[in-house]
Amino acid sequence: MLRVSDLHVFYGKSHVLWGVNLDVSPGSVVALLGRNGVGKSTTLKAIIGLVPAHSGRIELETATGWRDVTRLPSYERAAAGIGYVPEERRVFPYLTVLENLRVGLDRLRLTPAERRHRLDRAFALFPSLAELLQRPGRVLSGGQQQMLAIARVLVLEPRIILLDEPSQGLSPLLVDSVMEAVTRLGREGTAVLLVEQNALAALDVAERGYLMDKGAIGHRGTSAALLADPRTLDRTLGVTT
Amino acid sequence: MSSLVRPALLAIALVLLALAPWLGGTYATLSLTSALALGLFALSYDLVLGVTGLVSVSHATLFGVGAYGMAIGMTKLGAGFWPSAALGIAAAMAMAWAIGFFAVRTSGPGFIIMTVIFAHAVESIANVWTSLTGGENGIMLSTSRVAFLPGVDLHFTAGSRSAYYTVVACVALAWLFSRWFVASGLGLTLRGIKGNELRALALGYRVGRYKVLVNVVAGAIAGVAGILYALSQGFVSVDMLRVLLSIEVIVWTILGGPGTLLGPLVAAVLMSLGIEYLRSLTSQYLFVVGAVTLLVVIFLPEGLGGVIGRLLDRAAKETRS
Amino acid sequence: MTADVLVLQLANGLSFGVIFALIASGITLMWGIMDFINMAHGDFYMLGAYGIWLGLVIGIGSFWLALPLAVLGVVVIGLLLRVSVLRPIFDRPPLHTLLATYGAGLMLQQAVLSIFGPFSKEIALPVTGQIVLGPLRYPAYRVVVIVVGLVLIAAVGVLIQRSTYGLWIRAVAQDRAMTAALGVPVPRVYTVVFALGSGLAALGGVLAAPLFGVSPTMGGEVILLAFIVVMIGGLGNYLGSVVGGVLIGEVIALGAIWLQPTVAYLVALGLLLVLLLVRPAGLLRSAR
Repeated sequence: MLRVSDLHVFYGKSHVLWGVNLDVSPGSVVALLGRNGVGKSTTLKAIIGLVPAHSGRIELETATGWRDVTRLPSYERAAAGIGYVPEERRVFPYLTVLENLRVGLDRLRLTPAERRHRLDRAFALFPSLAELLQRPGRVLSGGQQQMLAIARVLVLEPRIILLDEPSQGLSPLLVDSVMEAVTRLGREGTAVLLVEQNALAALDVAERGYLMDKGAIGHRGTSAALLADPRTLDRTLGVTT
Repeated sequence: MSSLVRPALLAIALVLLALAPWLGGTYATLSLTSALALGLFALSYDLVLGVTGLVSVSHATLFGVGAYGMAIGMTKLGAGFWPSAALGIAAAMAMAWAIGFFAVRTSGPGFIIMTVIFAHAVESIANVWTSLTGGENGIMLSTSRVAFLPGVDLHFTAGSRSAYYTVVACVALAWLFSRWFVASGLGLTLRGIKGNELRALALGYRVGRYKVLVNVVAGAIAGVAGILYALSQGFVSVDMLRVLLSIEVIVWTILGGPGTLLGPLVAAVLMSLGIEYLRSLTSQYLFVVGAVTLLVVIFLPEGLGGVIGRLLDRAAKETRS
Repeated sequence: MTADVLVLQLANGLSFGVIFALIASGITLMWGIMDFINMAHGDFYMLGAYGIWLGLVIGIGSFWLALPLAVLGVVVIGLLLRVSVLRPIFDRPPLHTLLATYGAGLMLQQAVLSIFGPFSKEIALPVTGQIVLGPLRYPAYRVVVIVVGLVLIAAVGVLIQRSTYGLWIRAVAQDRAMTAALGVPVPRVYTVVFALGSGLAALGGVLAAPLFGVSPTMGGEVILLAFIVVMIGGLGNYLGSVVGGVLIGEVIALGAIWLQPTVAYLVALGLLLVLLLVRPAGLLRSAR
């Protein structure tokens, strides 16, 4: 579904991503793990186009075959099927919950029935959103914003969703429901690339994982294999299993 | 190879500068004197835009206010040259302070618009308050014969050489001062603000105050430039404080290379000579000015200095290989 | 000074204010949405006035028929400008767009000057007569200006609140990158905003033409006040520019009772400066 090859990214003169290679198969959940500042968010931002790629390739599998999106502007990548939920959530503060959902949805020219159907799907996953429709984004709690940020990408039915630290700042209960949502997404056929600091929670829902260190992928493997190697996890994540 | 080219060019330029009054006639000397005054004006602006990164569209306001201060002092208040000049410079500095004070209270883009607002306001007032400013005709400086020092008189409009060298001396002094200023601790702070304002703020610098300060310092120099320009022309008019001139000096600074001090100075001298020539050719010169502004922005945003620099570097690379 | 004079000037202020609001809302939309300082904005206003004059001269009998044509003509010119000149410098800092638009505006002004000459042209009032309300009489055309202006301003406001493009305009103003990441074609939104902004300015010019005449420099005369309105209303704040426009219009009109116009400008500037000291973000909280 998504293929990233030899991606290099610079912030000004700073070389932050050094030849990142990863791929995500359709309908699978893949975790991108690593300590703070190692380049996980940057990788997602480069995939959606918020940050320009210096060199390398980003390819998306569409209905008509593989498409090279490396030089496309963000909005075309999103239209091609990449969904992005940023770390800071970035809900529109002065738009209502419904308007937040509509921003991406309105482009799709759906019939009222189809719109209703998609919104209902989102509300099925996040029931409390249905009661907050007229509230402006800025008054929502952290957890509600997180749900909204995911929902407004969900209704677009993307081929792959890039999730940047969805559990950050959430209570354990909410983290559980978010992770459950991620699992459901995978089961329903949407690919997910999940960036998380909470490695254990991530590997719980993901099939495969990549460990990043200093701007490059250090280790990769199935979740089971990674979890079975606590020393590597320790070294790259500073996590004691 | 290229390391010899630049000093050589500089030496040639200096020689030409020194000999100009003998090489050209009276009119040419006068033109060059005025152009150098505009060069001084651009040099002062480089401190604001090139060094500190402030986009002020009100610099001509300071240029004109300085000149008007002096003119009003000499004609309406009957004061001598030096007190009038001091009045002009003080007025320019006060205006610079006022504009800076209010402009820094807005966020980034608001700064630009605030300077535009002030510049427009002063221009409008000057247009209307004809009893003070003389409107389009301006104030004639009945004597362009200035008692510069006891016993030393300078004739400006006569295209005199003594006036020419005075202006050259002022420009040279200002350039030395500016170089010292930029290299000083204060200059370092200003460059830090240009590079990363947020970081400067985080480090505890009162960024607003520094911005106002550089505007005032540059304003003083611009005031001096205005005085010299007015003397060489023989009159002050509202053309000296138009927004148009503020925009032109931005273009000259960009063309010459922001932050290089010498670049904007040279660009201003050459461009203003060019405009004067153009004016004698066609009444549509403003159209050309507009077109040139547009083209410079689209095609030469790093300025000619950048282009020439790149050409020199490429030549250097080729001779090396 | 009697109550009559006061009411008369209040009404005048409203008619000025509506015109300022039209111009200022264009500036604020373009700044707030696109980070774009348009120094040629006053020239769109001017071109609108020339457009209506030209339309009437050519022989389009009715002012009201020529109005939309004039506005449309200016919008087309604006879009041509955007495509030819502004596209290449799309991502450059505000300084560059400032200079480029200034240069373009200067060229437009000079072109108009050389084609039509420097002298002011007159346009007959499309609506003559007065509206009588008890002891008060007020020129009918000015009432029309106020009504038409307010209706259109309100229409644009509704458009921004209800339509899809309006939603996208608001979203881009709040978070451009995220809006793009959701698939919204941001360049198209920019084009809409640009067309809207230049159209509003042109409309202001058309409405102003019978009142103030048509001259090549009329843009420069209003642009200062328009910028003051924008700063008072808050950069990027549509409602703020409308309220600010009316406010400044009233300040000028009321000021004109006792003071000369330029002094009234100074009062407007003074008001802005006081506001900046007290409320740096502008008059209204960001009501995006």
